[in-house]
Amino acid sequence: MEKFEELEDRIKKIEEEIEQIDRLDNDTFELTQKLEKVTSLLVEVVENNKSIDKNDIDFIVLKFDIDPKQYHEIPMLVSKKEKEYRKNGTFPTLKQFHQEVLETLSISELENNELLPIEVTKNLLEKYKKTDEYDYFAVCEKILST
Amino acid sequence: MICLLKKILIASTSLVMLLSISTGFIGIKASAAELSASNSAQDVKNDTQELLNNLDYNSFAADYEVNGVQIFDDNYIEVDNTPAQGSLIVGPVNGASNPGGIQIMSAGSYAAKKGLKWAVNNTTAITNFVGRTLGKKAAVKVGNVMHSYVKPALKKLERVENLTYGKIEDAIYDALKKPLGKTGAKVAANVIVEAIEILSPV
Repeated sequence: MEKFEELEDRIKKIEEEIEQIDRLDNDTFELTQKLEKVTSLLVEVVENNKSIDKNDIDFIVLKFDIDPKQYHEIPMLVSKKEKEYRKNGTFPTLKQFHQEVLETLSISELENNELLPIEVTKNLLEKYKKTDEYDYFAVCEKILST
Repeated sequence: MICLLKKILIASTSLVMLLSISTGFIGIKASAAELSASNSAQDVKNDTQELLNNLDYNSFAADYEVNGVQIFDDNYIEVDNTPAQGSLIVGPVNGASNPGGIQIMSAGSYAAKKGLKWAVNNTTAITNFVGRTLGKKAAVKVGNVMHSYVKPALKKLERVENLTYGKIEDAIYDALKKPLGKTGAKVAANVIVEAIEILSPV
């Protein structure tokens, strides 16, 4: 009986530790994602002499402390639009897509009731449209043309 | 003369009576034959009905229905009358569990199977997609686990029936939990499945 209780205590402790491991795993992931974004922006500024626009999506997500688990949602949104475009030939207008970006990032208003400018979405589409050997997102050009 | 006429009349009357009796006999005999035939038909009908009542149709269905396809002969296949919307019949598929060599699956499952087959042979394209969407570092991480974790998980799914992209994502997530952690595995699985969906030529 005593050993049984001891075993139960150990199981309880392990379960608590698993919870802690999950939390640390989550925190590590979030910090890594943020650090990677900051590093890539810094490299762009210093090494490539590139000025970072205040409406750059990477800067926006850092500035407004967007949940790093949502970072990949934006490229996935572009990818989903590309799928719809390939399947049905349909694509949203720039305004509609901008609204979807805001919903994906769970931001409707910034500080001082200022709306996230549409330039952010324009920059995003420019970033994902064909710029190199890849041609995944032909829909970006289409959305930008609306 | 009168006597002779009387005799003829009596004889003809007797003849008529005799004929009537014989005709009646034949008629009765015919009716009896009809009755007998009718009775035997009724018996057969009753017997058939009894046999039909005693038949266990489920046993036939169990023996000859595979994946919703009823197979009555190797050469004749009757598909279920009410297939799922968007169902596809694909084949031939060799397998002990499928003697007809025909498999029926939903359009979604068909696409997922095709996507899976493509993914197993095109892991580099998937890694490139990850690089394009999530960045180079993410691509390196996914590239490191692709052959040792993702590909074996995808190969295991090749035998799964009614495959969906959801099942593929779950399998990749389970495979990547150990090397990437739960959160990283969830994101990676999501992006890998997105890559398969958009890149595989289905």
